Amino acid sequence: MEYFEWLELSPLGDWVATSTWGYPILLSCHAIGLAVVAGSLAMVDLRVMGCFPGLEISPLRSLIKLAWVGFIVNLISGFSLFAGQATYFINHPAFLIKITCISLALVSSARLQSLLKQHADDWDGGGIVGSNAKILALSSLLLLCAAMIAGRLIAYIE
Amino acid sequence: MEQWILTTSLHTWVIDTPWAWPLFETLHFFGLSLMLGALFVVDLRLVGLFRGLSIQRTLQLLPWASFGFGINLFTGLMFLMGDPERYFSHTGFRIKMLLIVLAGINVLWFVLRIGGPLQTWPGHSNTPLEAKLIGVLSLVLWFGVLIMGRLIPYVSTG
Repeated sequence: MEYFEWLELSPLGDWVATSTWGYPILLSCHAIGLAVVAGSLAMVDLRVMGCFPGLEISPLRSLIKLAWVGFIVNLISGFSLFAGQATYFINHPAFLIKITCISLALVSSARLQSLLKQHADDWDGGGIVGSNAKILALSSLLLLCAAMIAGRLIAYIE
Repeated sequence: MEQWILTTSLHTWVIDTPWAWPLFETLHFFGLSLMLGALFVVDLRLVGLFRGLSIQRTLQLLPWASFGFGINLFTGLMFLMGDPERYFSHTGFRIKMLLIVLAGINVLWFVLRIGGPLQTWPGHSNTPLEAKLIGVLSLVLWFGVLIMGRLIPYVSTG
């Protein structure tokens, strides 16, 4: 607990909590990062699940790299937002669920990324997308949605 | 307009239903992720990146972008019905609407000037300057829409 109090009182935590623009600027960055991560991954997930079948899968690997950039943006902006109210967030059930969903989404997306590296060219050449890849894509998509739901609920439940 | 909205039963429903606002906000995030995710692929390809993707095939994502826009048009109207006094005179909201109109004009530019000739372009080649311009404008305008939307609660009215 002491660490989270220290974080709140640190220059970063203090700037987020008390400056006029710190919080809105970070929230904007967080929304941009969200669009990049969730948008890019959703396209990859939907494609692997069989939507828009005409589109090549292999080049979408660059889109996953773009998603990682968005993830870094949200890791930094999210940590800063967290620093502003660390003792509050660390006890908030919706926040803890959100972090759990993001961690799991991270694992399934990384796993999907390595499957794409191994098999995407084969799939584009007419090979059938395996059900393990489809399940990973679906779970990545559902976890992203769950993270967004939990994130929004942070503002609504105590 | 504002006064009329306040007398409707839809206004009362949005305001009095505790789950309506958080539900529509969450859907608004889903919609923006879907729309921007689809647009990343289309716009970045228009800019000349992701050349592994055949440019004609990326257009398959446009219905998904439109679906995301539709979700956000509907949920956005619900916000407007619920709290018209907050939005109509709000500078951030007005800028957001202006940016959406400009993004719409950009879509029209794409349809009128690029949509036809694009069909005959080699699928994996670089793109002409005009297409790059449209792709960049689309990304800049929609990110502007996202930022203005996120700032609405934090920018003062008037």
